[in-house]
Amino acid sequence: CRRLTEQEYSMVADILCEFLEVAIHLILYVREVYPSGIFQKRKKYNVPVQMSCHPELNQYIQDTLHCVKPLIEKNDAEKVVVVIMDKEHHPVERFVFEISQPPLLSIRFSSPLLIRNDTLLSHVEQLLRAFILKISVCDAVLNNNPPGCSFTVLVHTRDAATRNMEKVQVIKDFPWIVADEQEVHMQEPRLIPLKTMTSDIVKMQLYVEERTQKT
Amino acid sequence: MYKMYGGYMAAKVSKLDEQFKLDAPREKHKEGACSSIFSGVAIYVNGYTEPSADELRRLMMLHGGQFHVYYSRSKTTHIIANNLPNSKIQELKGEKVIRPEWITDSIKAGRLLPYLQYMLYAKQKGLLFPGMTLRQTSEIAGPSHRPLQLNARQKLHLPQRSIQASVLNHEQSSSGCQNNSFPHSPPKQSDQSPDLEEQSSSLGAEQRPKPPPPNYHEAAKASESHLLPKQPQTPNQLDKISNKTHPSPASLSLSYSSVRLNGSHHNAFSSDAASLSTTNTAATPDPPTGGLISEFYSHSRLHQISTWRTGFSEYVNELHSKRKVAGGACFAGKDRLRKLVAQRHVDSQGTSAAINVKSCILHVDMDCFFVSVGIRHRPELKGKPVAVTSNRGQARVPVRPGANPQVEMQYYQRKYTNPQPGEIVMSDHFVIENSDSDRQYETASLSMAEIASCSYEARQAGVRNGMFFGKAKQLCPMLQSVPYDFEAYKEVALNMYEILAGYTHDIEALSCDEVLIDGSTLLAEVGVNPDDLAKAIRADIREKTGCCASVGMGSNILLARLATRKAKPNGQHFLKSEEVDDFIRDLPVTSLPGVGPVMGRKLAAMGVRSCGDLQQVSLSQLQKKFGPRTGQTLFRFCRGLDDRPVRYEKERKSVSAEMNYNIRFTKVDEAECFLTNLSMEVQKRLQEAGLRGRRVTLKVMVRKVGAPVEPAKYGGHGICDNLARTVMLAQSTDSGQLIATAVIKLLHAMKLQVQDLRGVGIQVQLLEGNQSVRQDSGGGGDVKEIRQIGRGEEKTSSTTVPSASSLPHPLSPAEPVPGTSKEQPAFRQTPKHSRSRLNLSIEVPSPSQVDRSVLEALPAELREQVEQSWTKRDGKQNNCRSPGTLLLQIPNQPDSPGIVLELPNFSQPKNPLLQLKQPGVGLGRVKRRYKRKNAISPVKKGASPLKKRQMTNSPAKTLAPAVKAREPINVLKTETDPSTSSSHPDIPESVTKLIARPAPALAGACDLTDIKTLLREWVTTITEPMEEDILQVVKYCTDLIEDKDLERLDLIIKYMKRIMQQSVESVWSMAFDFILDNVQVVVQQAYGSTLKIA
Repeated sequence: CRRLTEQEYSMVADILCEFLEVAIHLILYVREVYPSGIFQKRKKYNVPVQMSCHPELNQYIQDTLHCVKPLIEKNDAEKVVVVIMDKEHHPVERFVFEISQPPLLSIRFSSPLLIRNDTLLSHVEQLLRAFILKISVCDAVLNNNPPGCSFTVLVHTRDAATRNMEKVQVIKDFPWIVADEQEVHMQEPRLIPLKTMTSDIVKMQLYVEERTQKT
Repeated sequence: MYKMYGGYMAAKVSKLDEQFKLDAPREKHKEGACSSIFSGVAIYVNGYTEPSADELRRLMMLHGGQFHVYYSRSKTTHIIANNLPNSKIQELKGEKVIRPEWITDSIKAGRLLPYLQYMLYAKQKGLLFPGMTLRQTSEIAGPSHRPLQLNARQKLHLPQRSIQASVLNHEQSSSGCQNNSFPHSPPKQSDQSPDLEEQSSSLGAEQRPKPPPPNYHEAAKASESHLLPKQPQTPNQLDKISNKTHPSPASLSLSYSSVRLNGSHHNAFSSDAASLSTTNTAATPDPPTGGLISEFYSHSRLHQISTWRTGFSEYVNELHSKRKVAGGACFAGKDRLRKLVAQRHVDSQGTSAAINVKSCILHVDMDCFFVSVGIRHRPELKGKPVAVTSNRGQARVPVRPGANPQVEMQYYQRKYTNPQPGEIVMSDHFVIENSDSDRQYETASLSMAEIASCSYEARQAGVRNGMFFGKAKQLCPMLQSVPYDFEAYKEVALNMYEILAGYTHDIEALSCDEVLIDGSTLLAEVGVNPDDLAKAIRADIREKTGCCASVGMGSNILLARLATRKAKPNGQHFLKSEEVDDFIRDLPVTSLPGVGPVMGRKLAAMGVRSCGDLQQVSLSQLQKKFGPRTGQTLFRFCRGLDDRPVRYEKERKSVSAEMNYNIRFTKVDEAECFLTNLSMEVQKRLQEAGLRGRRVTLKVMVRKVGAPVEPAKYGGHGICDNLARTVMLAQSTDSGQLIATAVIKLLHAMKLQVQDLRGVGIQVQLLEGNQSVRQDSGGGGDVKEIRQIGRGEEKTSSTTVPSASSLPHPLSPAEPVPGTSKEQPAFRQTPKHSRSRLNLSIEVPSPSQVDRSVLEALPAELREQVEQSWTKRDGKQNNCRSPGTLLLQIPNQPDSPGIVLELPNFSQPKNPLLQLKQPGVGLGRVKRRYKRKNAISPVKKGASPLKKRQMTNSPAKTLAPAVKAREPINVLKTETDPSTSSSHPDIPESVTKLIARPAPALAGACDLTDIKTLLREWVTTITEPMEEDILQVVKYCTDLIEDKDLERLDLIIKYMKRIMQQSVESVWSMAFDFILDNVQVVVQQAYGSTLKIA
């Protein structure tokens, strides 16, 4: 088995962060964290998606993902979690993107160039599209959130990645902080799997953890 | 061996004798029929008998004999047994071992028959014949000699009544004593019942060598029916009779409902309580089923007290429903309060105004209840250190053989000093130095009778409730002991409840001596302040019961309870909201309700001792340490916050019966029998509560490895491991039989030495109302209410009839009451139905290949399971894992690989799961499977010819071209792959991938559509799923979780839910439940949450 090269990892990170940006916007729209008025319809992965046009929100999301990216590049991010919290800042919903290495990285990529194969990329795009579609209909399987929710992005890192994170601030004055117990702990979570993908470059699954009693 | 029990046993035996003597007149009073046939005879019942030991005891009471719970070579004259193991026969050589028929026949005959024909073992008889004849002559010499043989004590304490007295005099208990000296002769006895006389005379005349099998029930019935008209028919009496012919559970509920009919709620309750207390005799179940356990519970009076709470809760419930119906009840106390207030208004206008108490909870607690009741008629003991205990005086008892109190003391001490007792290596501490024997004797010989309650004077000397009497006596040499007086406790408790009900009905019964009252509305209504109310209540209680009560008041339950601590003894305290902060800060955390010694130690380890300390701990920290709910409660409690309402209606979460005293099994049968009996007890309780449960938990206490075989406390459990296993039944049940089957299977699955069992408990959870009962009574209630409004009161009684008649009728159990004819068949059918399903659910694990104990644990409730330490126990098996074992590891140890499920392949020969995939399977897969097939269970392979065929066939099939729709991704992969260079050149590359890290597959299928087809085939073609197949599916699901493919798992679970629950065969929905339960366990472990199943 061969590991992905740095170059490949950076490409994977690019793809994922792009996807995560779209996904976060869509989640915020679908879960009505922000009024639908600030969202615009766009097209991504060949399907309609909703994107916020609120500059500050967009900047926040971009900055966040900018900081996530190095972690993904180093394969340090285990989970990227979009947490929706109620007024008391207790999580009501967690959209968990669990990222792992592709399982079967065998003989097939003898050449790193291969990853740029268009067929492969379009295949990954297909898979990500499925995620997007799942997110846009996930309100069907979730209970309504209480009013006045906010959101935050958490990253579950592997091992001792946090130490490095403190040293290197990707964006000035936009540091990572260790999540509060309160933000992480959820009472009686119920798990709703949304989508799993396995491609040759990344394996990812998305599931939602929902608090049983939301109000 | 028996004699060596020594002082403790002597005390115990005499205590039991005393109890027997006390019970005897009562029994006779109830029965009305009695004689003194057996005077001078003292029996000891060994093992199971027909009739039961309990019944024999009763008969001995009635007929002047003695009953020994413990065998004494000198005092016991006869041993009664139906059969005995060989060892016991050897041991009892030379003793008279007699079949119980001797007693029943003698009663029938009206005189003491020669026991010779009833000797249990002919061999014994032959051997000892010469000696026996001698004795026998004295035995049959006739009752006239009897009085001479009575020892003095018997004469004094065993009242024997003449027949005339029994028939004519209803107050026998007093007259009985005077009749002691009457000569007793058989003819007189037979006077009492002509039926009996006929029987007896015929028997006596014939003197058959072997009497006919005793028709005991007939005789008993005959005598009863004969006597009935002469006796006042109290509810107890009714109970008793119904019990003769009936399984006991019905009778209690019956007496309850039948009294309800007359509409007097007070009566309803008291008679219920009475029937509770008389379970000694009234609830004696049929001999084959009940015996031991029922006896335990009926004799364990402390247990009865604990059951009273339910009774009192019920009483309060009654009050409420009554009030709903009647619109308003009379509140004697309230009226008095009103008058008081009015009085005061006249005295001084306007002073009582401006009482602004938003909500006020009163916590009424009797001051050392058992003691104050015990000494209320013994003024000389007032103000002295007094303890209520079963021990009478002696503080020291000798040590029994096999017992090693020293070790236990050490253990308990360790346990309390060391917060993690699990880490103690027991065997190390069980090495005892005998050199230290003096000191060992010191501690060992102290009486281990526990103190149930002690007076404040005793408490000052350091005596505490629950302390062993021996130790208490050391601390406080002046300590006096007072015996239990259960009748009085009940009387006083009932009195107290009545008094309180005179004020308000917003009462929550906490125990027999502890009550919560929501005084908010009462105070607002009457316009009195809480202190005055408390004063009035206390004065009332004092006056009517002669005992003191303390009252704590506060704005919530917590504060009220805490205030009580300040109020005690004999006082009252109102904790004002502005004082709360200061008050609570200095309280030790252990004074908070729910903080026991264990949590106290945990908190102390965190450096938290007072509530003030606790306030410094963050909520998240508490929740992390103690779980979300407890953490929150602690967080709130230490700030004096408590939002629990006073609940006058309590919903039961579980119904259980446990016994950890005197559990010593020698054989598996005994344990099984015991479990069956215990299940019947649970059934009884379920039925009493009108509930059915679905989750059955078996809890056992097993002697800890290395602990002494005999614990220091006689019959106690000693040092034990606590284990529990749970199973979900197909549907909720209240049938003892079903529960018994379930728990017996659980027990077997635990693979324990029955000899090491020290305690057994059965708990039933996930309760739901027994619909047939609940609906009916609920409906009745509604109708009642409506009619009440519409027409008036005369309808009440008629509308309650349906609810009463829905219960089995007491006197004619065989034929259903007309009103219930619809329900009864349904009722009978349900258990049968669920039994067939139940069998399946429990037999799911393969007995041959799967480690049952592990598997049985799988469907258990997640938390409980994590708590179990069985991983540790089964840890050894990790290393020698065979393909046939299933292992589930809770990732406690950091190095454990997580969840490992390895299961055998399908064993069912013509299973679609196997066959379906064969045309399409790829070479590698078949190979893999082939390999596995070969690897596991060669025995099984040989046994099944079909399988053999399969084996030979399958290689051939691999030659068939693998034509199979692949996932798009697979197609893509093969397309994009330019090179075929691989580590296995001759095998297609996609297969290599599988070998590298196999994708989860079910019977070779890994494509979703294939799996769905497979599952559909499986469910539709097979009527009863094989357990191994179910396990295979579970394994597949677990693989999916491990492979982080929850999406597919979700799809498959949903698909299975759809097809399995639709299936006509109920076993399929059971199978689904089983699969789901297992999957949820694994999901819980991997993700900390469970799948939401729509």
